Amino acid sequence: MTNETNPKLIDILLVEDNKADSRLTQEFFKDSKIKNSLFIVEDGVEAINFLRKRGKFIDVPCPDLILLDLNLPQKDGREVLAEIKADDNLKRIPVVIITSSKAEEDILKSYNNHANCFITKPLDLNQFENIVRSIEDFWMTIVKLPKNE
Amino acid sequence: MNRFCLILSINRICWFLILFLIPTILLPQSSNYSFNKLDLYANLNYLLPLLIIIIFALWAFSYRLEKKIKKLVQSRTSDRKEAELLLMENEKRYLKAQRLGKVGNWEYNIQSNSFWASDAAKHIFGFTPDDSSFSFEEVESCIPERERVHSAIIDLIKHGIKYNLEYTVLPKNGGEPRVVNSIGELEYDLNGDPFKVVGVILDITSRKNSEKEIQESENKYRTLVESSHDLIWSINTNDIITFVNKASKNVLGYEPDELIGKSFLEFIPNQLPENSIQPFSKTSNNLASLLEYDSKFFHKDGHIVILSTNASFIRDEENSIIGITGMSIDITEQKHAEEKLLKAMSDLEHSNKELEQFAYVASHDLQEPLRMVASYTQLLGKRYKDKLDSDANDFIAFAIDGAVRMQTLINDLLAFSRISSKVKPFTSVNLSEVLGEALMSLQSIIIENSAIILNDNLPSVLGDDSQLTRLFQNLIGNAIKYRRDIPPEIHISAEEMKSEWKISVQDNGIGIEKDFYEKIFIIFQRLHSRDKYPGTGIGLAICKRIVEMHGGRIWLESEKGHGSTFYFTIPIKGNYSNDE
Repeated sequence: MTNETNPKLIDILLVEDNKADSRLTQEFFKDSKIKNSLFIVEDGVEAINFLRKRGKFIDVPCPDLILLDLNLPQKDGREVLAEIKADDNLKRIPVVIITSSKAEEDILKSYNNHANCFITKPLDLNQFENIVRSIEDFWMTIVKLPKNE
Repeated sequence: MNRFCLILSINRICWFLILFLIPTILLPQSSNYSFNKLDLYANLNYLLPLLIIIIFALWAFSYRLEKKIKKLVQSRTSDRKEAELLLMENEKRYLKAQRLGKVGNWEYNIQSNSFWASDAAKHIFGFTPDDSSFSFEEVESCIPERERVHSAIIDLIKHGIKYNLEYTVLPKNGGEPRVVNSIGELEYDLNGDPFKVVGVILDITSRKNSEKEIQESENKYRTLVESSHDLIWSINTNDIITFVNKASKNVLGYEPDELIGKSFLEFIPNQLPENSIQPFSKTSNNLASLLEYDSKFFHKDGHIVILSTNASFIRDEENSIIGITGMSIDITEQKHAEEKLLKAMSDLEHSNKELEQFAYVASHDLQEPLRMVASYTQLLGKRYKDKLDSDANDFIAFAIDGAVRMQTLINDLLAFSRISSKVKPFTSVNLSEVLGEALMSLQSIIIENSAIILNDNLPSVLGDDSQLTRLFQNLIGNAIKYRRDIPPEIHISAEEMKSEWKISVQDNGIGIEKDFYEKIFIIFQRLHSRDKYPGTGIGLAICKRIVEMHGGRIWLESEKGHGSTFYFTIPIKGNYSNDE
């Protein structure tokens, strides 16, 4: 917001095992008015490796926003969330839980683990698009976040 | 005594003779011997004092003798009187003894055929002591078994067979029948021939009665014990089984004879439950006064029988323990049923958990592909809108509609299954607050339909607030959805019944025909086309389940074309049978 003339490139990490789903998200972010680069990993282990810049992720940037699905292979989203929020270097990155679960238990647990917000994936495409736009608006333009190191 | 009287008479006669003879002796002498008058006077002077002295001495002697004799006679007389008194006293004692002991004696003189009985004997037969009608025949008439008695007496007289009989007497005076024991023996004359039967008769009625009572009581308890289907037993202080009833055959497979005389330890597993009977040798010091416990016993065929036992100690007169007696009920079946029930419960718990797991999987995994179908169909429609014809657009719309409906169905089904599988502990819930929540979530359709919602004060009940919110949501949602062309008016009120609250949700909607009052609560049951009133038909099934989970009932009253009233009940706080 401070330098509108040279808009900053926003890095987003999407943790999603369902290719159809991640593709859909990708489609919407493609149309975004905010310049962004969307990184996609397919399981919890990769997500952590990405965030800690391990292995093949040695050169990746630290994301400005994490979109995290809960049901993931190997290490599921709940564990990833707990790990991020327990890590002093990562805990300030906003984590948006975006999942098909509506379970009260998941919602409560996610917030208890300091998720920044919890969104249930809607069935309707237009609603989904609206959500992506809301995320953009809210997390990428409205919210003031601490600067990454 | 007569001898003493004779002596006394003789004594008196002697005195008379002495006093009469002295002058006669003296006077003839004076007439015959007058010439010797001087001598005589001289002698007289000499003899007279002598005579007087002799007479006096004699008198004194006889007086003393008489006195002594009288005294002797007197003492003899009192001795006799004392003896007579003693005799009378003994007689009284004897009579009293006979009366108290209910013992009488009798004699039958064989030669004179006469019969004598003591007062007590007469009393036994119902005669007074001086009853003139008393006779051998009269006595026999009081004995219903007189022939047996008669022949026993004849056997005694003729063959010397011991006479000792018990028989019943119907007393002459009409008193209660008596049972007597009559014993008799023969007396012989100098020639050695029997001439008299002497005997005693004992009234043993009370002894017989108590014997009968004891016998009856014994029979009663024996029958009870023997006919019992439960095991009744006793053991002594050496752990030996001293008694067991016939139920042992059924319960343990052993006949009583196979158990009696053996140690009970032979038939039980090594490990005895702590509160059960322990071998006497080990724990005789700390025995409780009463034992109630479950224990195991080996059946003859080898399987284990579980017995529920209630036992108490047998004590002797000095109050020391001499054994244990008890009653054992076979609870093997019951125990197995209990185990089965526990297993069924844990299975149920397990399957409930699985169901929950399934519900979760369904909510995520079933919806994921569905969402993809819907999303990409929509994306297809959106991206290629201008490149497809109207048919293609219709097909895409149907595909999307189907997917959306499928998702609603899955969500409703999940909601329905969660009502019973996810029960929170009940808390105090203010129904007015819960109604407020429900109205909040229905805000948009309330405004959209210009619905008027009125409500009375609602009570607090014990329940699950989110379920009760849903209940109001569904009922009020329906009331708005099934409206007529006038603005919906909905009235929620509460009425206090005997042990429950009756809550009603009244509307002015389209109403329901009576035929469908029951049907509408069945899951997926719909009364209208989906076009007219969209929905899955699960809302009222959920309502019913919620109300039932809260221990209440749900029903409705309606008039087609005028509106419906849905009622449900919830127990008044504190009336819950299960406080989960």
